[in-house]
Amino acid sequence: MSLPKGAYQVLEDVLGPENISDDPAITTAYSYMWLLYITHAQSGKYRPAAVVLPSSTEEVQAIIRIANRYGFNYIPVGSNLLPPTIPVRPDTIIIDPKRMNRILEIDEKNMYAVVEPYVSYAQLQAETHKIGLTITTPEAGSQVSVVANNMFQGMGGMAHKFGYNRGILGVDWILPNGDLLKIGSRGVPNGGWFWGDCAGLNLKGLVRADTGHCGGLGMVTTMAVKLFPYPGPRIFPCEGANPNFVAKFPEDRFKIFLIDFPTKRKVCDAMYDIGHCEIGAAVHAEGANWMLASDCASVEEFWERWPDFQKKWKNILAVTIAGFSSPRQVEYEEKVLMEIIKEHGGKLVDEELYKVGYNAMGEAFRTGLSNRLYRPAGDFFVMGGFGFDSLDHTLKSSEIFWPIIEDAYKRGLFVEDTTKSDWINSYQMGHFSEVEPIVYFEHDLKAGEAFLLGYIKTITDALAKKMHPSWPLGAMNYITGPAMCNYHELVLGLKKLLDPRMTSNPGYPLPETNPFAPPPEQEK
Amino acid sequence: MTGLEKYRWDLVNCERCSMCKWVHPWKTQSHRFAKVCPSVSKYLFDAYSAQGRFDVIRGLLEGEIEVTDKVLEVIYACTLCGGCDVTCKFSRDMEPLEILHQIRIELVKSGKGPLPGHKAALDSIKNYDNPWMQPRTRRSNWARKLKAKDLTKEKAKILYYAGCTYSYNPDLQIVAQNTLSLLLKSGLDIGVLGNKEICCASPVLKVGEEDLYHDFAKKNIQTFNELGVDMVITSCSGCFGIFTNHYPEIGKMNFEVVQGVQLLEKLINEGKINFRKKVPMTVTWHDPCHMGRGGEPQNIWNGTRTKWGLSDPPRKRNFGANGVYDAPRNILNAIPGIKLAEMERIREYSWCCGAGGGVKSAFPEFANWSARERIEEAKSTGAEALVTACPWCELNLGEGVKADGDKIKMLSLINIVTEALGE
Repeated sequence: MSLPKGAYQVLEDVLGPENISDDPAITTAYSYMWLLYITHAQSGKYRPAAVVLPSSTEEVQAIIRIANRYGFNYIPVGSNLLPPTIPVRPDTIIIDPKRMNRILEIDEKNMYAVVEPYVSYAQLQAETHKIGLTITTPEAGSQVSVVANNMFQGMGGMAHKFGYNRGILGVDWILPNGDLLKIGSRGVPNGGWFWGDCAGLNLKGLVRADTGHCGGLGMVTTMAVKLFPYPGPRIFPCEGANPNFVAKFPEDRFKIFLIDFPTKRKVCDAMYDIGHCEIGAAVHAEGANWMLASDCASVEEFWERWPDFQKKWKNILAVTIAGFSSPRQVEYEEKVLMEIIKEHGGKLVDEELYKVGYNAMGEAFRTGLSNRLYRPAGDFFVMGGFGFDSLDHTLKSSEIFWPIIEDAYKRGLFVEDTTKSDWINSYQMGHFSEVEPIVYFEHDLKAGEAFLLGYIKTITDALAKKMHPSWPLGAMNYITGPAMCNYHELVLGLKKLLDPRMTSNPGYPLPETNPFAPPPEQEK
Repeated sequence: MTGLEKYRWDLVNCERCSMCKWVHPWKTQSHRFAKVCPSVSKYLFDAYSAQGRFDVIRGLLEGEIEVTDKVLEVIYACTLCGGCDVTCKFSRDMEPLEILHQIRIELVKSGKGPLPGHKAALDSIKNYDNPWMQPRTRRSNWARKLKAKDLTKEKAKILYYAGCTYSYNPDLQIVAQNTLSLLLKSGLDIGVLGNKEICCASPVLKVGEEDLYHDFAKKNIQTFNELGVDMVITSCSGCFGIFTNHYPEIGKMNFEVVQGVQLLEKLINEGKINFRKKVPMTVTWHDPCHMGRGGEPQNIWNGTRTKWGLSDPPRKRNFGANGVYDAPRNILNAIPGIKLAEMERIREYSWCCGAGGGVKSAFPEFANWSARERIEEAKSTGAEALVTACPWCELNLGEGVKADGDKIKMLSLINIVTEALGE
């Protein structure tokens, strides 16, 4: 857990002594990840060799060049939420961007903002709302990094209306060899930040991909992101005190409808029609466990209400309507929605359930409740199912993962969920979708193993049915790749091309060798 | 570190959401004032946040790391303001603030804590019953000109507990004097303990000296109970916070604890205080941590975590929203001429002045930095004065105001009240 001789001093010369540390008291705080512990049993095994705090693109560039010269690994992080940010091999440093926290520009006329990696969504939105603009915020919470999240998925409540992962415009990107690459309109002299595409080869897909490269292809130091119209209050309309908040938007411009459908099929059919009619700002089928968790101030409250709630919340769709152009838009969309509800046999939920789901509207515009997702137990994650495909595909995915989940909760390893309700997101007016079945489990290796094996099974089962499988992150690409034109070989080729020394978060976008491959003697 | 075992569930289940670093997203109003934790905002490395400290403490428990000077710095460079506790608890059932207290207790037990910078105040409390190295015989000097009952000799319904800083600091004694004077004029049956008053021991607990804290807390509870008073009033938010949020687990308290501003508000509402003079000024209110989120009545819980992290017996948690927030605002709004301009980080999301948790004595530069941050926020409201009701906040923010060239005034609420009374 130490850097090659002399490397620390060189880094310190670049950054200043206060902006680098290899002290275990500091590095330990970057070594542990709850989910990694149970699934990989690796957490805490490797403390980073150092943590560095650059303040500029130039300093990031210098760090990466030093890493190449001395041959150590580095992981660029954002707000540091997900497993790829934890070192799983020695001689790794963390590039923590907390000093790169500026909103460099908000261009009201051209509707974009230019941000550094430690600007959170809540910070950016707080400023853009003042001028009637917004950005969709992810379910990971508005406290996460705008840059890192856009590189990961850039999804969020408003992706039905604003599009999925289409917000990246001009980007300044330090490649793994230390070169500064400017893409989008940044790649054209005096091109500015306003455009995500440009003449010639567009490498935006490499920044973002399906789930991003997780720091495996260098570090983005500045990004322009697209902004969208926002007809809401200039200060987020949050009422109440911790832990009971209600987001109350003006009713002439904002409405939420919670609709109970007889089946999941009907939910999806309604979602299709909502998309066809091009109405709705945020459209989600809401999973029961998450919805109740978002309304509970404690784990005890969740467990007190959960048995009864399971009987009430099954196939419920939340549709948020916003009057972007005028209040008449709300009136029109409401009329259309009512017709769709009627056609598919839905009915508006009663007052009790409406109260539980009401905050989904606030959540659509600025995620603030989503970390309550963790509330029902120690650990949670999504049990596969992340097929970014059609709404029909989500239904098929659901058939794959629920038997696996049911088996685990019957063995007492997961929290029981008899609702079989999924969190289904409509993106880009229902043109595509994804589904996330959220499961809760204890912080122990047995539950972790059940989760990990179950997760892999959802992928292999999906592949066997020629479906688009779940979230291929890191090594998982070795399972999905062979079934999908061996795309993983292309990704690995790109990794080797851009990062020949394999120093940029080495396990991502996928590791150099396949960890699932049988050992050589077995192969024989 | 056995005292930390009961927090293992919290330590291993923190999912690094980072909420502990920020004001709740729905309450965030700007890029500039979006953060809630002074420590990680100043030192930047994650180790200085609740999440990072959880990792450090877990590392200590697991034997992955040892207590070093740097570990001590990471643990003690925190004002224990509780901002992380409020934001964390919105979504998780964890106890960051309790854990940050407990690790200090464990460090002291193992002979590693507190820090050398804390020694002078601790020795002073041991030797003189106050952290300011002042003799006991001068404690009551502030009240010499007031005709309050001496409760060591006679009975009264209310004890006015001035606290060490308001008793000894010549610049701040006026706060205790104005408060007591006003309460006396309102006809309340109120008295003081004079030189028999001793430190509340908040500074002792905050650096982890649990045994010494217990001695003082027990002594105070016994004394107050024996006085037979119905109510203990204090103007010091540090004392108020420790009385309401920590003393209840020490022993039964047969009296109500009230912050001075709460009683003032009551007297205004009852028409017993009438403002005669206009005070034309725009002010902003700073919520002291120990009067706000740290001033909530304590929910005592002795239990264990069971499956899924449930508490047994079910635990009632402190969310920080039930502190004293409305009273000072209502008072300011009742004063003719005063216009209250709120900062962005208020109530349970208030930014700490920087003086708490032993930071002022061990990390003065950090304390000053935190104060400067708050002053910038106060100035952004356009207010002419920053008002509060805590001696620690007033001293630390006051220093910051001076260093900033006195661009805003630093005032005690009671002094504005006194001015508005026209006396």
